[in-house]
This record gives sequence, C-alpha cells and structure tokens, in this order.
Amino acid sequence: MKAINLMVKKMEELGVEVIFGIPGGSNLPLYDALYDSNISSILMRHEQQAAHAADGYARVKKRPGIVTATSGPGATNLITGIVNAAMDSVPIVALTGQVVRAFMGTDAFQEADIVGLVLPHVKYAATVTDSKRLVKEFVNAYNCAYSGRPGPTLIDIPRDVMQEDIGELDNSDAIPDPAFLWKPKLPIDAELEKAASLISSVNRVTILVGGGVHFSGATSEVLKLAELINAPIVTTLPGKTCIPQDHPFVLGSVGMHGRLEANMAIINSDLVIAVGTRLSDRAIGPPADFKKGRKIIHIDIDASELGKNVIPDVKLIGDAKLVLNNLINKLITHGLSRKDVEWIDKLRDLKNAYEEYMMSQTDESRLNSWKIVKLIREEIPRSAIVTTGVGQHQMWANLFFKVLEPGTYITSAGLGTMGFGLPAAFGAKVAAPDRIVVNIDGDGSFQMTCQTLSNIVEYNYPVITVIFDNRALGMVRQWQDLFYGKRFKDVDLTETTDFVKLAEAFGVEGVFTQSYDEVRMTLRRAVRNNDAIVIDVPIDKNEKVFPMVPPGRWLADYIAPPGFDGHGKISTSVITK
Amino acid sequence: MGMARYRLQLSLNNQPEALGKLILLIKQARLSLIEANIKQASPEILNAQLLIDGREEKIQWLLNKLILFPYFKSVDLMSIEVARDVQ
Ligand SMILES: Cc1ncc(C[n+]2csc(CCOP(=O)(O)OP(=O)(O)O)c2C)c(N)n1
Repeated sequence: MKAINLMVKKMEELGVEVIFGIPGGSNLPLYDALYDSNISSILMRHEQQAAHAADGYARVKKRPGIVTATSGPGATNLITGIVNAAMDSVPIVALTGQVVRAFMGTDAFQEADIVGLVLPHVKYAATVTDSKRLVKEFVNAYNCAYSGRPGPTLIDIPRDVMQEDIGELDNSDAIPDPAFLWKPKLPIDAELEKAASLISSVNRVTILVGGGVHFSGATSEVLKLAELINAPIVTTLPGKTCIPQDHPFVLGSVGMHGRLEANMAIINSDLVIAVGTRLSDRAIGPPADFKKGRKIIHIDIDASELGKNVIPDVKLIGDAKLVLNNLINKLITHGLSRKDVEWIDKLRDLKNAYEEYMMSQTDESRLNSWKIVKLIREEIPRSAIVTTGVGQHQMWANLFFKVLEPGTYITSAGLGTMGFGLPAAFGAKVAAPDRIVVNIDGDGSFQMTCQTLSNIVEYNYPVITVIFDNRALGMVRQWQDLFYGKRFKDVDLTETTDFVKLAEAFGVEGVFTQSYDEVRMTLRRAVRNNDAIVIDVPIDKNEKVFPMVPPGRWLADYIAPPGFDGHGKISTSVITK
Repeated sequence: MGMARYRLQLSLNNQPEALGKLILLIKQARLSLIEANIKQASPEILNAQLLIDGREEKIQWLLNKLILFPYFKSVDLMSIEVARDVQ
C-alpha cells in the first residue's frame, strides 16, 4: 500500500472526520487517498480560511482540526492560520505537500520551506523524507497537537514520499513516540499548601480565567473555587468562553477593552489566582503595575508561562482541572473562612450602572453596536456558538455578549487576525451542525475572508453573519482619533461595496437593516429556519468603544464612556482598600 | 534578577528542525549564544553543550520551554557563573 493511503487509514482510526483544504500538485496523492476514505474533505477557497475553519472546528470539538495545502503558495497561505492557532493554543494539524525529494533544495517550482517558515510558532513541524516514517509522524503530530498545552503541528510530505509503496501498517506505528505524549506534571503539595495559606491570609481574591480552562474542561472547578472563597471571576479574551456569565460571581473580561467592574476586580484585589492564562499585556497591562500591591498564584500546564510575564508568588504547574481540584481539597482541609461577599455586590453595582448607562443612550438616527450585541444574545439559543472578526465589533462583543454555556465563544485573541470570524464560524458549524452559529463581523474583517460564504452554501452548513458595517477599519480609526490627533489615514472603506449583493453572489441571502426591530426579526427568522444569512447593520464610523485603557497603561488609567461618571462611582463604591 | 553565563547540556533529535527550534528559542528569549559544541551521539541523537549569556528568568524560561518540544530529549543546566564582563 502507498504510504499516504496508510496514513489516511490511520487518520480514520484516530477518528478524523473532516479535513479542510485545497489540492495542488504536491498534495494530490493525499486527495487521491481521501477519494476512497470516509473522511470528508471540504474544499475551501483560500488556505488561510481552511486553517481558521480547522481552528474553529478544533475549539468546538476539543480535538485537532486537520488542514491540508499544496507546496509553495498553498503552504505559505496557511501561515496566518497556524500562528493564530498557536497564539490561542488551539490544536490543529497541517499536512502540506512538498516537491519531490530529488527537487528539494533546488528552488523548484512551488517549493517553499514551510517547516522553516512555521518553526517558531508550532509545537512540532517536520519534513518526512522516509516514507516508512509517514504514519508514525502523523500519529506523533496528532498527539502532540492536543497533549499538554494544545497548539499547531505541521507535517510536510514530499509527493514521492506519499506515493511510495511501504507494505502494510506496522502495529508500532499506532503508538506515538513517548516524546509526543506529553504528560502534565502533578502539582507539588508544598506549593498547594503555600497557595492555600496565601488564600487564607488575604481579604480580596479575584480569579482570572484564561483559555487554558477551556481545553482542560475546568469550568466547574473554577466556579466551585469561587463559591468556596467568595471570589469574583474575571476572564481574559480567550477565557471568556470558559465561564457562564449568568453566574452571579462572573464579572466579564479584563484588559484594554475590559469591563470596568472586571478591571476593578483586579485593581482592588489582594490576590489574583490566574488560571490557564499567559497574562498578556492586553489583559493585565504593564506587569509591574499588575504585580504591585497584590499577590499572584499562577496555575498553568506550561511551566514556561510561570514567571514569563509576571513572577508569581506561588507557581502551580499542571492541568487546570487537576490543580484546582487539589487546591479546593486543600482549602477544605484548611477549614477556610469565606471572604466578604459585599465586595462582589459593589462590583456588580458598577456592572449594572455601566449597562444601564449604555442602554439608556438613545439616538434615533443611528444603531448602536452594543445594543445590537445585546439583541443578538437575546435572539439566539443559549447553546449557540458565536465567533468574531477583529476590531471594534469584537470588543463590543467582548463587552456585551454574555456567554451562557462554556465553549460557545470563539475569537482570535492572541494574534487578532482580521478575517478569522467567518471561516472559524464555518468550522464550528461543521463541528456542531445542530447548533446555531453566528459570526459577529466587521466590514473590514468580513472582506478578508468572505469567500467562505461559498462553502456555507456548497456544504450546507448555514452560518449567520452580522456585519457591523461602519465603512471603516473602525478600531484603527479609533486609535487615529484618540492618539494621532484625528489624522485619519487609510481607515475609511468605500461606500460602494454592496454586502447584500456580495452575499447574494455567493448564494447567501443578504439583508440590509435599518432598525433594531428589523435586525431582531431577520435574526429571529434565520435562527428559526437555520438559514445562512448576511445581515448588514449600518454603524456610525465615529462610534468608539469605551471603556478603553490606552496602550501601555495600567488598568486604572481607563477612559470611561463619555458622560459616564465611572470614576465617581468606582471611587465611592468600590475602592475601599 | 541579574545577568549570568550559563552552561547547558542538551540531547536532541538529529534533525535540522530540532537545531532550528533551539536557535529560535534562544532568539525568543533574547539570550546570547557564546559557544556551541554539537556532536552526534548516535545517528538519531545529537549532544549539544551551549554557553549562553542572559538573564536568569530568561534562562529558566528556556529550560522550561525546551522540554515541551518533542525535538529535545533532555536539558540540563550544568553551571552558572556571574561573569563581570557579561553585558
Ligand atoms: C489581518 C489584519 N490586518 C490588520 C489588522 C489591524 N487592525 C486591527 S482592527 C482593524 C480594523 C478592523 O476593521 P473592521 O473589521 O471593519 O472592524 P471594526 O473595527 O470597524 O469594528 C485593523 C485594520 C489586523 N488586526 N489584522
């Protein structure tokens, strides 16, 4: 049997259901093997979109998404998607075709060193030059992508390696090499003791949840810990998906465009328990400010994260679920007294005040992004999955979309990749065809990957897209407005692009809406009928997302929404430290 | 935390990708490579001795990071010296 046929057989055995990609000269033998396989292949319109679709699929299924591309331009088109997956710790396996071995290193037609190009950003990448190693290399890469901290891997396969006859499958090929089966460390008891005593010794503890909680499946442990010690829960952008926001202790996301009450929960804390987060600058501001006046317990499966950005007082290395369970047991045996819950009530007052203020803004002449986000939440089922593009609309979604079930919010957090929303939504729908999937997009982001609409029609995976159409690269425009003296340069997008016609050209219904009612009714109909639709919602390009913490500044230096006396409220009701 | 000179002993796959990853991680940690001694231990395995200057927390990061990648079999910190001429 050919090596590639054996590899596809192994993929079936591992439970691979679908592969996103585009064929070309160098990965044709893979497509030929897929012809006889029960793995479905989805022909995307651009390899970047294929990688994002695999990413969306992986986040929903919690198992590796598979993507393929041919050598050269096919492979290089994957790079943004691969780096995006790395930044958000998502397991995807990329299979690239490569020119035949005899031509490698000769600048042959469509030769690119894809392994060299992605090496800084992957958990593992290799070119397979021995056909007998192909199956094993795939098994290794597949396991590596999801064991430990998830992330992307890539196997680069010269066409002639795929085609070589290598006999039958060797049983030993089924088992990954030990180096690829990374087992997380167990938390050290002395460190758990230290953490428990630290928690006992302070007044205000805030739990900061990162994306690591998603793949670990540690939502209930986070909630249990919070309830045990009366700690407010705040999240990073990737952490937003992990925690149901209707829980009374959950205050939303922190960071540059975080909720005021969430940032306050950090600012006023004596101790932060950070779980499965790399504590990036966008989430916590300058590390020195974050560290000042508070203790940090940092829990992460990746030991290299502990101390990378912020040096914690206690390091707990291990899988979040396991560490939290151990910590909870330790706290129970310590006979821990609960913290004052009044603090959370005050933070919740601030949350309500901000929401009431924003919702009370009335201007008949325009639609407000935050009200559209709230309306989307009201119209879609609890289990619906939401994806976003990158920009102001993403931050409005971050501020106002309430996650009700874990794993239902997918966004490009670490890399901030415009164009992520639609292909990721498509991948999510492939993973969960029975659920409603809504892509909250910007007009700029949408135009980067809108060809995925053809896949939505062709494969009948209906996705709803709501375009926050401000005819601008809104977030960049906001920065030029605030930090570059309103010297607007290359941020306005043409008025002539017709998104309704564009959607229709792909065979998707497009609707231009002019009122909240119209948006609501159109969305309601699409949800009821599980329709693919593009809903174009005009937004004023001068609308700005607040609160905002200017780049490089501490969370306390936020700019509140104009007219909202956040500071007065906060100083009188929250900061009592 | 101060600057120091570190001697590392590594065992890694005899693959260009493994060497590439090693150099890229040193780059990411913003460490400077003073000396590298790399020898084949077997057709599959390379042994490397590295002399590296940098900040302690960055070296710690490198040690923790290296072991996460399947290219690397073992990583040991052999010695630390706080050299006066280390920049
Ligand atoms: C691929 C890519 N290019 C450029 C940027 C820089 N960038 C960040 S937000 C943004 C504007 C996004 O515009 P749009 O999608 O219309 O969203 P809006 O901010 O208007 O809501 C740009 C250009 C980026 N994040 N990604």
